[in-house]
Amino acid sequence: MTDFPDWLSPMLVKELRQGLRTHLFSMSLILFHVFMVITLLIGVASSGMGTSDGFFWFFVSLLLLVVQPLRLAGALSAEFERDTMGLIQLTRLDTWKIAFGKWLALNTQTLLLLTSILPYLAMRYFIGNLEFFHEMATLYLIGLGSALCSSIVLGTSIFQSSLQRIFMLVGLGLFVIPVIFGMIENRFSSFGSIDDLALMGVATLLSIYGCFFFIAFGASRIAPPSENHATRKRITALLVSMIFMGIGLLNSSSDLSAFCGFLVVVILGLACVDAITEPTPIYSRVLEPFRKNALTRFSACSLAPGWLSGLGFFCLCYLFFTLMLWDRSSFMKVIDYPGDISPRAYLLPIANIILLPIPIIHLLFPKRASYSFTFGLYLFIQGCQWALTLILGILASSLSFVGFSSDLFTYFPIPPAVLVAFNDDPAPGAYAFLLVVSAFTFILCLAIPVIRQRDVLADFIHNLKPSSRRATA
Amino acid sequence: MSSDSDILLADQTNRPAIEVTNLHRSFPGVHAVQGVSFSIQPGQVVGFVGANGAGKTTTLRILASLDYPTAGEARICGYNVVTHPAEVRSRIGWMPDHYGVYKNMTVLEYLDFFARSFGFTGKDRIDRIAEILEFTDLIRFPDQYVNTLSKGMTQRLCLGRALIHDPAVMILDEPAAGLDPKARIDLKHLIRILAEDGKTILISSHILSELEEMCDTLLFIDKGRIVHYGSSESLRRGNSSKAIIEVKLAEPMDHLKTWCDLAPNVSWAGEVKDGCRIEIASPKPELIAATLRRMVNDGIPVMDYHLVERRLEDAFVDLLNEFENPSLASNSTSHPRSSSVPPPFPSSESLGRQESEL
Repeated sequence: MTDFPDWLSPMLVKELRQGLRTHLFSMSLILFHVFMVITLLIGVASSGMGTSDGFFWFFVSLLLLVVQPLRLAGALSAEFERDTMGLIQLTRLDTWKIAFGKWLALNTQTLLLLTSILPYLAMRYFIGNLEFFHEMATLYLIGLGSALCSSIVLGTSIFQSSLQRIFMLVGLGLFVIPVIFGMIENRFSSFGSIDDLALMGVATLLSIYGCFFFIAFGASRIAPPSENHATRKRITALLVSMIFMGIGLLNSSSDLSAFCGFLVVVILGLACVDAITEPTPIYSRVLEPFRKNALTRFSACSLAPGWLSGLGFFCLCYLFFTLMLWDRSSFMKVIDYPGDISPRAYLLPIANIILLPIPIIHLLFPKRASYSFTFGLYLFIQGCQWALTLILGILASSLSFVGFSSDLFTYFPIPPAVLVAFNDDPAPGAYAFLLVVSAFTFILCLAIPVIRQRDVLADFIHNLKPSSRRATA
Repeated sequence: MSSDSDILLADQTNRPAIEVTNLHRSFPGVHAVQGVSFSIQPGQVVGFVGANGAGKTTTLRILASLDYPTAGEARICGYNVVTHPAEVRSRIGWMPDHYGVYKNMTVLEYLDFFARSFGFTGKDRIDRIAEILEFTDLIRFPDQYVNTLSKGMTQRLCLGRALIHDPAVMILDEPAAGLDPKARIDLKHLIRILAEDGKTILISSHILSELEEMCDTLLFIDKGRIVHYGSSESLRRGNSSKAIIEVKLAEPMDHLKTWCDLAPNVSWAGEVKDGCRIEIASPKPELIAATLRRMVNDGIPVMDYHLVERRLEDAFVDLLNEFENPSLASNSTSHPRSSSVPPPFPSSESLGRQESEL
């Protein structure tokens, strides 16, 4: 009982006690070292490390980026399946501590594995004359990637259906793994003009935020209605976006600026999707901090929990992004746009792509409050609109229509198709028409859920009033 | 919803330990709890009874702040479960109808995790765990993995877990389900100790005879509504104004049958094995005794004369039947033959009556 000090998180202590006993951990540790020794022997036999270099990093990446993170698959849903989540929630642990404890325990074990790799790195240095610090930097990036991947797996573990989890992991994996390897490759080949230090800084900040976001994502989706995770998530997303924006603006490298612009789009995009798919909270104590004065009441419109303020947060992000990018063409390298079309025009269809599933969800299922249901449905509708766009694109190009994009847009004005239309039909008339329709879609996407759920809006306004005025009402 | 008013209420003395007012909980397509109201005073042990799907677990989960009502209010020691879950959680010990144990974890580690989670540190933590191990008689198995314990031991461990922060209110959902007779007796013994210790206990179970032994009051729920709240005795009696007496005679029954036709306040209720039953117009003990005296004085050779009590299960089934179909009340198979249907949920008047009964 005294093997772990009192100040350590109870969840971390529990998970470490359990995790270090699992066969998966001990077996992967043993197998990993066997592979490391074999790789080293191959290197010695071929009198140089070059031959075994690929094997070495393959095994390290496999263990740290795939095997270890996957140990968290189902981490949160398993607590529900075992019926232990309720028991933990009744203690003083909030859901953030529960999710963070699980993530930290796994990454402590990953750190243990990383430490055990160090002797092999030293041996590779002595035998193969490899650059030690270069290898250490690579290991550092893989370590960060492992932390990020494990947080993603933890975040997706809220879904009780394995199919949903696999769908989410594949989707996010397709996006995250190339970013991690892109950064690692950048170190090796020095393509572009991003210097090592800036890359390390960006990678570290991105990983820290990514870990925070996905852990908070998981925690907020298992939280009881009395907990508010939304405000912290949204403020952090805005702050981190501002930092990346600042790095992008201050840096002379246009590659880094474009990369930072890309990251801001991703960070705000994910934060907005998370915010607008939140269920309607039970307005109790979570709104208390927002009732203090006019300023806090105003901030509730974008920072209070729930999809309604999520729409406000979306508008805030959109405004922030538009203002910041208005005259910074270097950021806009992230989007490949034709020279005679203003890049600002792209912002509206992009916003519509994110927003479109929301009115559909609220029109069809106004009373469904489940987090995973709304989020799952959001992803499904999102997938459908992209699939439809792809099919339309294939059909249109195979049938060789003359005005591909305008036809596409006229008959199927879904936001991704509009984006394609922007790209393919740069004629001034079409551009203005597309822009007007995009603006109309944007207003509609915001108005439909609010009108459909006007009782939620009325509740929200009522609950933001000071106690005395609410009592009078 | 105001927190100030909540704290004000919680600070008031003599508030009920558990207070539920017009509680509703709906899921898509299902109205699990419909206007449930009851209150439990500190130190009371109350059995919560209902068929599967009656709304027991939903009500208990709301009380434990693990679920929330769609309407109505629930308070533990004066604190609203929705607006002040942290205060509620520090005052309740929740034992669900499943064990909720982990693999790769010993008994000691399991209790240690929950003790740490409730903020126990250092010597306090070690002492508290030792107390719990002793109370639950698991002191000999601290290093045994929890998933290798017997059902009875696991249940005791879970009770220990629920008690680790010394809560004032215990909510136990089907604690005796799946236990062998010895484990049930052990569990019953532990619950009795807790009751003597002054804890307020709300126990849900299907085993009515056991609940009767442990509880002061029984709370029956059906289809999300309270159908009875009172002592087991009052349930047995139902709302009947009559008493059934089983009589054994030293001669054939014809004489008694004729006597029943002539005597006031008495009617013939039929023959049973080795005797017959008569119905007395009032369940008052004086009238029952007077009937026997008159029977003997009139020369009926009475060998045995006793009041027939309904089994609690029968009373419950009758109650449910009557509640579902009031017109069948008089056709009830078990006796007493007539009992009136209780209101859908206790009115404030009947609640007052029930509480005074306690």
